[in-house]
Amino acid sequence: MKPKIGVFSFTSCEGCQLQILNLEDELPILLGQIEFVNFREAMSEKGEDYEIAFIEGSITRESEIEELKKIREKARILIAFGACAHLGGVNNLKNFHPQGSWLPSVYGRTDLFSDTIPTKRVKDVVPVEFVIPGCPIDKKEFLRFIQGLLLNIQPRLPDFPVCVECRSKGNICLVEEGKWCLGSVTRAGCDAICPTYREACAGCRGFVEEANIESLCNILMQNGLSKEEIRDKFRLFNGLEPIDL
Amino acid sequence: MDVTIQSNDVDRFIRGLLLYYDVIAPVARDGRFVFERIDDPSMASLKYDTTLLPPIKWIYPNNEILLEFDLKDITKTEVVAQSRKQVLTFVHPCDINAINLMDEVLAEEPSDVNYLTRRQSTLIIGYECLGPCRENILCFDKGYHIAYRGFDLFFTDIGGRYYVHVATDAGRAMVEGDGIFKKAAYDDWKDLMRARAERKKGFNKKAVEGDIGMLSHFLKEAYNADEIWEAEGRKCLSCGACIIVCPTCYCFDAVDEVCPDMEKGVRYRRWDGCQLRGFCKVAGGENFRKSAAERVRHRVFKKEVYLKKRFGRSGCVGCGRCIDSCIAKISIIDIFNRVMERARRNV
Ligand code: SF4
Ligand code: SF4
Ligand code: SF4
Ligand code: SF4
Repeated sequence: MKPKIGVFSFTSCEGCQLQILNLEDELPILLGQIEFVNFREAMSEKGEDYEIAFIEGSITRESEIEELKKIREKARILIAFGACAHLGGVNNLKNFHPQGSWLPSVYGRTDLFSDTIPTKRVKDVVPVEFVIPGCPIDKKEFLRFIQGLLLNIQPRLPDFPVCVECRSKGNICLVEEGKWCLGSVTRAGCDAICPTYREACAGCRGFVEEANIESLCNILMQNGLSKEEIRDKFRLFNGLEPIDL
Repeated sequence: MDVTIQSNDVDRFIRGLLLYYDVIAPVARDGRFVFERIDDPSMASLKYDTTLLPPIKWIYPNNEILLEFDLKDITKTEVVAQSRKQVLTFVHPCDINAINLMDEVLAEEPSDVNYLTRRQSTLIIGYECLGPCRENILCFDKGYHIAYRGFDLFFTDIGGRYYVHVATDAGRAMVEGDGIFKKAAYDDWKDLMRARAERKKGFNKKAVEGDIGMLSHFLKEAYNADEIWEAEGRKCLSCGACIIVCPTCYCFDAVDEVCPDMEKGVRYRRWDGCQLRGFCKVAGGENFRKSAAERVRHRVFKKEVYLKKRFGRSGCVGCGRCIDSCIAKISIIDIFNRVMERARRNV
């Protein structure tokens, strides 16, 4: 029996779902082994008999809480995929402004989305079995997850920081050059794509275990960043993580 | 046999190599240098300072495939060990010494067939350092700024031309033929001696104060010196930069990857190392080097105590890459100096 999969989207840009569809070469082969029964971006059927639910997006409205809980009841395994579901994503930024104060600047009016609430991660609302991190997710990581599922192997996420991948490619370090980068405290798996293109790692894959945030702050302050600037860098993706800045 | 080559003939020489080998050379990138495969002589820089990654990584590449397996019939597993013919060109003595050491370390049983296979199809052209190339280096302290073996050819800049020491038959084959190289004459030899005298003047400042021969002994005495290890541990991000860039770090993790059709797969190795939290995690979740302080200490001991005990010489060739790449400014020179100072205090 092919495992039945549902893909669901909450507050997000839906770019992570698109990453699944970007597996153009692999999907036709994969579809011999799994079945999508609910995947709004890819099909119009809306099956309710999924056993595995992939959740994209963070929870930012009252109504989304109930929707998510319903999915959780039906799914045997629930996976948060993408930075929004995993960490709250960039949506978490609104939590640092008075509730609703951003409505006029974002939507030009205040009567939309009246049930808006502070951003929650998926795990703040329902139990999560697994996370596929990233903004957007790495499609290969999704593939490995599905393969692990089929082979009955618990997929492993890299437990080392982005610097390992970055240095392995022989990149020049942005922090060495006096700039900022969060790669040293961020979970690898993206092949250090941002620093490889000379952009700072913004931490979209979340922190590694026991991240030495304090040491990195000291380093970034020596590079001329203020405490507030550093806090803002961390907040972009990791504002809901329990760190003290 | 020794020969010479005019500086402006080096391009022709490289062009000749390109016909037969993958040529790996120092290439400028954003103000630093990297060893890259070149397809045109103009890409190579003979004058360069320590590259971001060491040239040995071309013999020990990241993500190298070790095995191919068949999920339906696991008895069909096959060892993969392949290599193309390559020349590592203009390699500095510290990096040659690192390769020499790894030749011994990785030949120990069970030997590393992948490394040895690549090593056998690799030629090395050395390039003499006539002075320190960067600030944070300690090659001179250990005599690793000179390489006595581990190359096929060895270039020394003697002004307008290079003195080329031909060390092996393979080296001889590279310089024979097309008349680019001339047999070294007495004047060339005199210029070589002059250059070497200059080298002595260039390398004149030791990075570590005290008797470097005693360092490993003093380190052992400092095993519990928390004022060193705890302090460094607090700064350390466990980011792994230092172990990735080191020419004598050779640890790896084995990772399996399965094709989309779920029938076949490969096992490859990914560079890994003792500064990373997960490196010492074993089944059941136990971690036998839990703190960053223990991990920093282990790296230093691995280089200066454990490898030395086993192979008779320091495992740190003094290239300084770990120092330059540590954003927390943890410096092996600084640690060595503190260990020496502690020993002086304790006499
Ligand atoms: S650029 Fe960023 S990810 Fe790369 S080594 Fe430096 S801190 Fe690490
Ligand atoms: S480098 Fe950092 S911000 Fe960029 S994709 Fe990787 S984890 Fe995300
Ligand atoms: S480079 Fe520095 S901070 Fe990173 S693991 Fe090595 S010693 Fe620690
Ligand atoms: S320990 Fe540091 S200085 Fe010594 S060989 Fe390794 S990278 Fe170079």
